[in-house]
Amino acid sequence: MLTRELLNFRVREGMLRPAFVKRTDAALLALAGELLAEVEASRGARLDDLEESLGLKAGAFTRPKVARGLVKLLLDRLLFDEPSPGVGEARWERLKAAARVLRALPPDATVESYEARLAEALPVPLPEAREALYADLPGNRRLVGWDGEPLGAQALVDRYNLALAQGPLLTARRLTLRALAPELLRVRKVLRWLKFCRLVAEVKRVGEDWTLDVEGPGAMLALQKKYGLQLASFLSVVPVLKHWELTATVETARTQATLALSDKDPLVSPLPTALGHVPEEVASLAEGFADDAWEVDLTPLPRHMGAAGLCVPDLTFRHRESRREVALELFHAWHARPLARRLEELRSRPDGGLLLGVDRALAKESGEREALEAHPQVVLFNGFPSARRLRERLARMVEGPGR
Amino acid sequence: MANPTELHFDCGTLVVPVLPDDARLLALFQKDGRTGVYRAPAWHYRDVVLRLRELGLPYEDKAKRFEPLELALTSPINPFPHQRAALDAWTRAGGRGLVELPTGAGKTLLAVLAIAHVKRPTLVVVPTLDLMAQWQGVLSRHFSVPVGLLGGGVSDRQPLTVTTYDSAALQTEFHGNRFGLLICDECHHLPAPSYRFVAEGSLAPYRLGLTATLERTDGGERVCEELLGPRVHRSDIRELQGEYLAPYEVKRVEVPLTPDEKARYDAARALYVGFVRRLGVQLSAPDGWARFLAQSQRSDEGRAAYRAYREQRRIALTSSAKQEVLWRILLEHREDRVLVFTDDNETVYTLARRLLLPALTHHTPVPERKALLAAFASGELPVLLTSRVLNEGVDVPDARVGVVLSGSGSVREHVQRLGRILRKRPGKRALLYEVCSAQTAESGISERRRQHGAYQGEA
Repeated sequence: MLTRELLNFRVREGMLRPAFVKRTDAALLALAGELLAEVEASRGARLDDLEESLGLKAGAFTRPKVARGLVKLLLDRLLFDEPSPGVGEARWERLKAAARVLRALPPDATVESYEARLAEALPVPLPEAREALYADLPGNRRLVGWDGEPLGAQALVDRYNLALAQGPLLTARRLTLRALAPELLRVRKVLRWLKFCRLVAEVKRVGEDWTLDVEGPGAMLALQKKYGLQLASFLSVVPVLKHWELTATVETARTQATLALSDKDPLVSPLPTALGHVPEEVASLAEGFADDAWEVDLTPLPRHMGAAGLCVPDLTFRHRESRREVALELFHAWHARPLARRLEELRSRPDGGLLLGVDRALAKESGEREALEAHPQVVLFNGFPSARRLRERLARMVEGPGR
Repeated sequence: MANPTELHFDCGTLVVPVLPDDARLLALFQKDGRTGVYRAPAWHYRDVVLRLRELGLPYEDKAKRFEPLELALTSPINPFPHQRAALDAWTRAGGRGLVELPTGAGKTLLAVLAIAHVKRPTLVVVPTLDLMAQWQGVLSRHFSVPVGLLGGGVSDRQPLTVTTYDSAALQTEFHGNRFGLLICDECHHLPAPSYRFVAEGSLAPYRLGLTATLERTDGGERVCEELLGPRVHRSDIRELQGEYLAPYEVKRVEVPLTPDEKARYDAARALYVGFVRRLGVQLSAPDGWARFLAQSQRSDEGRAAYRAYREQRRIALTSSAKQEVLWRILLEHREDRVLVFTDDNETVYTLARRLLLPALTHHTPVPERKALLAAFASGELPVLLTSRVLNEGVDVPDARVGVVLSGSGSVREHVQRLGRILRKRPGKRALLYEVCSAQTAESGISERRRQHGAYQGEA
């Protein structure tokens, strides 16, 4: 993250716009390369010296504030050694020697006479002892290497742009994200990251677009808990979406402003690119599920479960006439613990709009099998629930008392 | 029969999926439109449980992750009368409340008695790493259970744990349901916006706030009372002086700047003050200093003003006459234990290198802090230089002489520094020197510090 004085933005008519740099800015990419080369050449150098040499390069750049931002992001990812124990031991001996000298002074001693006696009592010259006394302060620690994966020049510039947008979000209490016709896997990744950041969202869908009002669990209460860091962290997943818009009310030095970002901005997610996959069975069910009464939706809204759970169903059935929705979440053989948690959450807070498709491999014991077979919201299956069984269950749900 | 009401803890909040129809319970919660549950600040837990019990409604407590502990004292404690009175008052108030006792009057021991009385997992929150280590030592002596630490690079949570406000502010959303008793030492810190969540996000039904100086200029004491309970006991520094605290004396030494220092000071201050006036910034306003800092980075003139501000401050804080006075004090008290307080680390390390004296700042690692304080106590190292880390609570009973070489105008800071040297010892008379540069802004700061009853002992 960037510190406040390194942020670069403009506020006009209540709108805050970060001063993003072009991803293809040749001069900036060249500077980023130089800074990275300086880091590589500085292994073993003191933190203070490295900061100074990077600072000089930054100061010489045509846009020093941008360059200082790159330096800050670089330094955040570097690893420095632990101080040598020898420094502390030598300090201890010299401090004790100085204490003995002080105690033995006559009442009219001057600083100069104290220094003269110190020089005699110490094993090294006084100036050297002074210089070495606190040689293990943080600025004297030596560069070991990268704390994690090394950065490249493009990644450093991308992180700078992201940090410019994250900085103002540190003051935000909530943000609104519009995902425009998102793919299910991308929106799932966003929702997983939302949970990872310990945030909650009110999710709405209008047509193909989703709106997520994102904030901390306690933001609705009169708590002093700040969620800015979590919101800023959440932003790092947003560019995973292809088309999106984000707004948040943020505080500048003097006033409030609206931060507005979108996929038009040069923001790149630093998170791994893997999105997971939609099981083939789900796709084939969607294709093969021909029903006069129900239609299938492959981008189901998340459902809040129990006290603090979040469920992203695999698909949703929507009744063509009543528009009633029934979501289906699948549990395969390796989902024993998530299934137990979901059943517990349903007990804690009933949700009649959710069907659980459970692989029979999870119902091996007779007691478990009987409980699952009797559960009104469970459909047991081998491999994958058949369209026929699902249609039957949906028909019962429409006719049943839960309607 | 209806399902029992379920209570859950979620990131510093209390969550109930389905709430019984009761107006008082409804008033404690808010409907969470985002997730469909009922949600309340975690600190409402006590009232919620008491109300459910009062109504005789079944409930399933999935929120708390603590149970009563078998906590016996390693040896009996015979408290002072003021400690006994404070404990009784706190117990009568249902195990919630604030106790205001002067430094050195035994707040830590009172906390030990409270923990032994309540017998619940306890989180003690303190302002500094030094205090964290000190509390761990005291609790370990009095209870035969391991005492955990959270902070300063250590993450060891135990049923009895000590942490700092900084660490607790980050960790409460994860462990706010693990402790039945929350003790906030130096609880005047709690109202700070970044720390309030330490108490707001905790379920702990039992709460104890300890401080020497509850009053805050911003009225924050009301926040302490709301989150920790009402003030249940107060003993004044003058009531305990002599009997439980060492008698003390305050000496103020005003030193002049040399002509050269004065000229450089005046020039730098004129540049800095001129810039502030042209900006129209009131530095006494709540956002005055932040505005000055922001503006000073936006132009060459501003940057020059900022450098001038630092220069005039450096001259006032480390003038040659001040260093000479410090030398005289150290020499005069070379058989005593002397604590020297300054306003910043730069001054600490400058003096440390010049006189080869030990420095204790936030850079000092926890093991070295412990070793320094032990060497100071034994007399092996009779002088300690520090900026602000020893301002509060840290027990240095052997210190008899304090030297305030520079500092803020805060009355609290001054009272706390005075407290470092007031621990009672037979025949001990504590002495606090306040050294300030005459004809500088520092003498005004000194005046502000002196607006407190503790100055009744001034020579």
